[in-house]
Amino acid sequence: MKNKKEPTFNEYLNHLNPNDVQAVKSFFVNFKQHMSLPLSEEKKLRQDLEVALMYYNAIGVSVTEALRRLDNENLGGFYARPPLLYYALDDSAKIYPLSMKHGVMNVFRLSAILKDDIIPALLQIALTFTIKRFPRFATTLKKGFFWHYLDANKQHYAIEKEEHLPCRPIKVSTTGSKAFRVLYFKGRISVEFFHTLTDGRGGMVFLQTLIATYLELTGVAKVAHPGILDINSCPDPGEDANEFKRAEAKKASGFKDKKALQMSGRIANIVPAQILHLKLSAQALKEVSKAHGVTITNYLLGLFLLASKYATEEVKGDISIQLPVDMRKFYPSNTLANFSMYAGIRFNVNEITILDKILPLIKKQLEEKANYEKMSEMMYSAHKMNREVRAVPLFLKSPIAKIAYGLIGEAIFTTTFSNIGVVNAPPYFSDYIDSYDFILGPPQVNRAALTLITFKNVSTLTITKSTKDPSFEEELYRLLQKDGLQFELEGSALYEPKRRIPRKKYKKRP
Amino acid sequence: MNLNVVYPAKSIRRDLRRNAIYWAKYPFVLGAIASLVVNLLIGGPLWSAIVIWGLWLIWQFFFIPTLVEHNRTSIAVKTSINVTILIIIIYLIYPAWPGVEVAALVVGGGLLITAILFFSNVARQKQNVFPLLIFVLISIIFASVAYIFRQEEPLGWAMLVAISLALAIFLSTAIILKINFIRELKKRFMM
Repeated sequence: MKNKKEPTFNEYLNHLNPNDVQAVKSFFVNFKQHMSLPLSEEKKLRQDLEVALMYYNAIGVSVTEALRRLDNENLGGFYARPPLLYYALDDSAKIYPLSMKHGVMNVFRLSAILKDDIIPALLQIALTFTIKRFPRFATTLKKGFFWHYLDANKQHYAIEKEEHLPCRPIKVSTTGSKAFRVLYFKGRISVEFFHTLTDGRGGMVFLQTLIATYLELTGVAKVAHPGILDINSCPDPGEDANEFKRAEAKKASGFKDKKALQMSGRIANIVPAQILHLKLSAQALKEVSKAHGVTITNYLLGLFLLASKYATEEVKGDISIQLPVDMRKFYPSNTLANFSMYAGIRFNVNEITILDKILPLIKKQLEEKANYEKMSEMMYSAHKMNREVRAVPLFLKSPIAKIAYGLIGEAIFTTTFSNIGVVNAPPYFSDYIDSYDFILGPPQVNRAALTLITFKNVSTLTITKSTKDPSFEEELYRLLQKDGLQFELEGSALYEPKRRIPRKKYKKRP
Repeated sequence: MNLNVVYPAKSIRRDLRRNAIYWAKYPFVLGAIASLVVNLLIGGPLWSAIVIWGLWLIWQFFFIPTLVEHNRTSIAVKTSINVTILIIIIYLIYPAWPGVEVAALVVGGGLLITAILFFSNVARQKQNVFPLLIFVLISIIFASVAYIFRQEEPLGWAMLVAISLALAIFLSTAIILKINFIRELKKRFMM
């Protein structure tokens, strides 16, 4: 590998004029000043820069301009300092490492679909520059005596070509393993996060900053925007804050509830069984919701309840939808750690009749359950619960948490619907990005998980399926079309295990 | 409804470990229960405890490896502790051999192997110092208690070897990691 790479970069140097060669050499001398990583990691970073320089050369960008875009100042002191920082997990994140099992991990994915194919060489550099602004993400998960925590981990963070299942578990067990991955496929940049690291809002800030850095490397002038962090600014301590401490309620509300009905259909051997994206017109969706006198979330919850009822054969019990609520709207914060709670919308299956009858009831439940008081109580509960067990050693907490999570985990919901809202992006992003996707990891008990994300006039409704049974989405298509909502359907084919094709047995001819 | 496929069309392999866990858990549980029942029925020493701990060992190492901090230091520590417990169980059931001293030698060997694995790449392994320190602590407690009760036995020196090795590793780690040693303890005991 080494022998193949070096001549190529040498060839590149050979065809440059002496001034440019000198500039490139000075650039790498300066690069060395920004490094105190182990040699193997430093080599990888250097190779990335070489590949990027060769890419710029191939598309006719001058050496001066290429070196300006790849300026070593963007590395800052991050790679030159020893990894000393560590971060306690926030109150919501603590359950994720405790509850994970082999093949079961809370992972979510945020993607942006760009108009042009991704240039891997530049995306790699964008990640190298961006990660330093997110020291909380440049960590590895470790076991403490009382809790898991995030330990600073300085290394070469590599992008990956997407070739596997979306939201597959991230290996966090080995030395220096990371809790997120950056993937690319055609025009799509995806970031998959282990939920212990951040929530949808924090993940979106990372993705937006990564995209802005990538676009800047392609030559697009960067414009400051509140949704994007300046990669060369100092991280704000508030970005790592455990905001659950701010709970103003003094009354705790429980997480327990009775089991909910599940949609029919066997859980597939490979999950997710399928990913479906319904690309709707945001304007049309807004108008239809308005015509029903409710918000988009309320309207879609109505459709999901109807589709869930259609997809289950049970006639008794409750259908319940978990609705994550971003607590930043109640407690303004710039934390990149988890800061969301959830409300459970619950109906007896026989109460779910026609859309216009259930929408006002959903509205009422939303007002009752997703308000400031209730959410604060839940936030206080989470904080209180963690405080009460903080002195219990982790090896004792771990089995108890697994049992508790089993009792109050997914089984009390039929599905989850996470509406991340309108993407907070600078106007120039519209020229380069078509849409965004948001995927929840595959549920283990529920048959589907749902998300909505809106960018420009495209609202992308995503269904992560854990069963092959198509009843839920087929009913949903029918309900949307009944209300005059047209959509484009994108997604994955059904993920199925590789089957061995039996050899044909040929009879020997006499 | 026509679906536009926008994900790479790869056929996905089955998760073999997941299937193995699913299918193996029944024979393992059954094996443990059967050995206990047979043991109680035929009487005699409680050999089923050895079977059950042995099954637990196999289950832990081959079916459910640790999901956080599964590195060479922690694997060596986990193996040493589990094997030591197995030896102690065997000794408690069949006491006619110097089981405690053998266990102390296993602890010493485990300490040595763990220390080699740790110090051979200390720049990277320093993140994994905690399992080593826990092992050092457990070794000192175990070997000291064993020494108090069995110093008169022929293999009593085995405990002294284990204690000396544990102290040497502790001191070496503290000297090599310097300030990071304290920092590491602060991190690990964060509440």
